[in-house]
Amino acid sequence: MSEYEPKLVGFLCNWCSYAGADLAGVSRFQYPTNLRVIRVMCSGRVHPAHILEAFKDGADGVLVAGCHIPTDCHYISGNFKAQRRVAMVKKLMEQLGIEPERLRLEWISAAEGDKFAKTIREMTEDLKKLGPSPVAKVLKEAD
Amino acid sequence: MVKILLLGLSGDTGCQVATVGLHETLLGILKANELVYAPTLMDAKEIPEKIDVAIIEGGVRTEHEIETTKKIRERSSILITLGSCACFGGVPGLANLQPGEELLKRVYSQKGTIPAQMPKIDRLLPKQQAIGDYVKVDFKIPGCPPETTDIASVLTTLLSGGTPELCKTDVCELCPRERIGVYSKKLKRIYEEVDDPKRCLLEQGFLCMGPATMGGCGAPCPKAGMPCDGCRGPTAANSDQGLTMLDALTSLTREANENFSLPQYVGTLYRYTYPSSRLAKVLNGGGKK
Repeated sequence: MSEYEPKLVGFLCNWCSYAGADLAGVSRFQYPTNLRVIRVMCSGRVHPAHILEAFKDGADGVLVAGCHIPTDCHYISGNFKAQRRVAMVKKLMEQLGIEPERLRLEWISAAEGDKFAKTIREMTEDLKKLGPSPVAKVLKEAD
Repeated sequence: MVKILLLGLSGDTGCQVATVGLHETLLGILKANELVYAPTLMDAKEIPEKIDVAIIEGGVRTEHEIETTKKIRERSSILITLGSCACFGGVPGLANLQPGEELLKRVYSQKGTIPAQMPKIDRLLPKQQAIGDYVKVDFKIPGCPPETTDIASVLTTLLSGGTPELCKTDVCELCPRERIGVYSKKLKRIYEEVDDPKRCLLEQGFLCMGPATMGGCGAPCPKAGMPCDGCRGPTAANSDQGLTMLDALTSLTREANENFSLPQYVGTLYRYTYPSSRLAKVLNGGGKK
């Protein structure tokens, strides 16, 4: 059997983190291919339903990345909204029986390509240790 | 003569009592129609061969209830789910957070009024599910219990040949309390502070589920100073009540401070709708159609 490869969904904000991912690419920083990137205009735009929908469809981990707090957000306060939301979704996940460590919030600026690559490397490692998410297990059994 | 069935599954009979609470309206309905099967109200042994309108209260928790539900669906032309247990799984659905066997053991090991001996429940399902997870449902009358006016309007419209309309608004629509845009930084329980009766409860920091809950009830709870607990389930525009509310809370928590934390996230946000919430549907197997 091949090694378990976790599925990681990343919601990256258009102004900082997506550009950061771009920089990681042009700078040729190596990071695992487990990430599926979804570009959003702002991290504050990521609804709890987006995060849980990703888990529902079998993601093992979700990354929400946005501009640094307090002043980097293109829309002034979107990153603060993301921060509050992620904190609450983590607590909800805990009670639903999904490890809150599967959800991660990171501030990655357009100049931090190395931080982006490092975050993905770390997350993939952590998820490998955690194993498949409880939802993914149920989905696999249903197949 | 339209043949009506009124049956309760895993619920508490409250919704059937609410139906009887129609008073004079019920007399009018019964004048032109016939109640053919209603174990709560009258003696009847077998589910009749032909039913026109079947009204089911309560969710599905045993295999016997699946069979009954399917039988009723086959024999009836219109199936209505009455109350939140039948529509979304209801309060008993919160038990889905624990494995069924463990739950039984825990409850029957407590000393006190509960007998120590575990009862024999035949073919218990691992999870409570809504009726809609097993058969097609034509109309839903949510609420815990549903407003008698709601039951009356759905029944009279149906029986006169019309199609009942779903409420498209939320609870806040008919709530007289005003929003001024100033939010409390702390979440409060209802006993901790006396509310300002003119202002929105949510703004004052009392967790009111109004914005995420289907309207039509006339907001009796917020009017009486009690935050809405979401018994009517999600609004027509949103499929997941808890997540909608969680999102609404983001604007309430001006600062991500530690004070702002719900004691029970699932129990508060999904008090009535946990089995039919998006994620729980996958985790609980969602019921086989």
